[in-house]
Amino acid sequence: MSWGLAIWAATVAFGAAILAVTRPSAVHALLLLLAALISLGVGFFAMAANFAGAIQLLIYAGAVVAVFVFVVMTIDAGDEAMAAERELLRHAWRWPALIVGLSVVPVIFGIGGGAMGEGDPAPALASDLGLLMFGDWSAATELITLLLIAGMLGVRHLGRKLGPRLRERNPE
Amino acid sequence: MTDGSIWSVAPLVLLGLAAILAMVLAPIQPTPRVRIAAALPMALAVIILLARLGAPEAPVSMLLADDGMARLGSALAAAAGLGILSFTRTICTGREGPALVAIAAAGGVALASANHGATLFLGLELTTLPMVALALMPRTEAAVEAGYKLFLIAGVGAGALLMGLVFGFGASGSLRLDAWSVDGPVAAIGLAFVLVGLSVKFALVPFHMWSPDLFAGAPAPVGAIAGSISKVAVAIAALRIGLSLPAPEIWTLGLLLAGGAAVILGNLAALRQDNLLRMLGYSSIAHSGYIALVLSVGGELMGETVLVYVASYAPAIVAAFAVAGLMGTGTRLEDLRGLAWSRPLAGVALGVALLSMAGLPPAVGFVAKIYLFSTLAGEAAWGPLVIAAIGSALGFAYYLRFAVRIFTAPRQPAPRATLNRADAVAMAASIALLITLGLYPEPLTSLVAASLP
Repeated sequence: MSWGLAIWAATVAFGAAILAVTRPSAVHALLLLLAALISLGVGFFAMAANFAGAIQLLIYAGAVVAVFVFVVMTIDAGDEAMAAERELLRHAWRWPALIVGLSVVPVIFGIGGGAMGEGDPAPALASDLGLLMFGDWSAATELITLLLIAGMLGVRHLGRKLGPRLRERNPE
Repeated sequence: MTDGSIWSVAPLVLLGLAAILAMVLAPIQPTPRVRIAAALPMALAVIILLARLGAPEAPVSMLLADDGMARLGSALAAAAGLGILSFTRTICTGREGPALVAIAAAGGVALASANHGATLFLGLELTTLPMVALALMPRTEAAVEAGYKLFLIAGVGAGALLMGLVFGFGASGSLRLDAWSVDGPVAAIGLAFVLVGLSVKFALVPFHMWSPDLFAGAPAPVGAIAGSISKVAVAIAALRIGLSLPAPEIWTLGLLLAGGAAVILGNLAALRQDNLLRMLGYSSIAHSGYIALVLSVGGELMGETVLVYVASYAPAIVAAFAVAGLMGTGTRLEDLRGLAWSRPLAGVALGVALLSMAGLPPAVGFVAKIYLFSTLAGEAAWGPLVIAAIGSALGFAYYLRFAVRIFTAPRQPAPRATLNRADAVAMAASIALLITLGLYPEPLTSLVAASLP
């Protein structure tokens, strides 16, 4: 467990997050987001939270970013589009950057004490997670399944071709 | 697991069952039959919840509370879902409609019983996501705009709520709802983020932009969910957070500012609307504002006032949307002329609902307004009292403008139209509920009193 490395990784993640919300190009923003997610994973490993670190890398830096890549592949990133995006972003970046900036406030205030770093981390195994998911947290697990059903119903409907009745009501 | 804990989790299980039944039956059965299949477990859930209102607590999980507040809120959410099912038609929300309404009701139950950060977040998402999916169903321009607006703004709200949970965890090492009761800037910032997250869902100013578009642009069941299930559940979640904290300044001040702005702006904007649903959308912002003012002022009557207010608002908004679902979401003031002649039941239902929202006797909204003003006056909160009084006066103006038009004689005698059975049952039930509880509020007030600690 190395606090120095953990704080270094968190700083890199913070810098990458600030840059990610200020870039005009979606591809650059995505790469910076990936950098932020990977440095967070490094931070978890540095705090000996190996399981959380592995999940962070596999699910967030891996799977979630892969989905973003599919979307970005459909985006036009030519010079004209970049100029338009830059024009749009001239003022729009301020609020997202401010919100990202706010996330560093507790680090400034709470770095000296508080709940941070108290006690040794307990070893976390996949079996412990399974016991939690179907033990104390089973209610949350069931609610997530309902959430997935709602998402699936909505996405399935959106992905369907417009039938004649809908097309008539929705002329292009 | 003891006997009691089976009953405490039964409502959520029944609502999940309703959703799955409706989803599985949707492709093979006509929508009216799917609605009945979903309605039966939902009705059973309401009965169980009301029957257990005074029963001893038997929480089945550390994530879900089983107190009276949770049971009353869950019963309201499930009953509102039942009412909304009656006008969930294939034409506006596709075959998936009933399943999504049942999921939203389950989300309302989870949110009303949430006593942990995880269920707070999941309940909030579980009421939002079905609303987005339902809003997008017609795929008209207005519906898509409404759905995406809700999706994006609610996404920002959910992000703020998560941030608040993280800050609370950083300050106290707990994800429970009293996590922000420790002193210091970290907990205060966290609580401010939680307030932002809840305000988005509650449509308080300045996070209200999605509400009028959703009410007017999306199919009728969506606005009804936003006005009833989601409003009841968020109000109870906010009440629970307020009760578990020692009234921190950032919470009360934030609610006061956002609530006061919501009452004034919501009512002023509603005054200028010509479209029935857009008017209801702006006025629902104002109603959220009244509840936020009560939550910020606090006092002994706070819990009772919030519960009576949401219990009287939910049936009124469901009745109004049942009529709007019948007449189309583009209904304007002039279209309502003579509604009481062409469709008497619908005309009376909408009229009583508008009277109740305005807070006029004999509808139950009058009782809610009495509670509202006595709480504000009892705590000597003169500022909020004046704001609420001005807001209610503006409310009389626009609600009565619409209500009077319903009972104005039509220019040429319109043919009597017939209602289908589900609509008629929902409208008759809401008229009966609004008037009975308005004239004889004792059952409501004693239920509410029994459900508070």
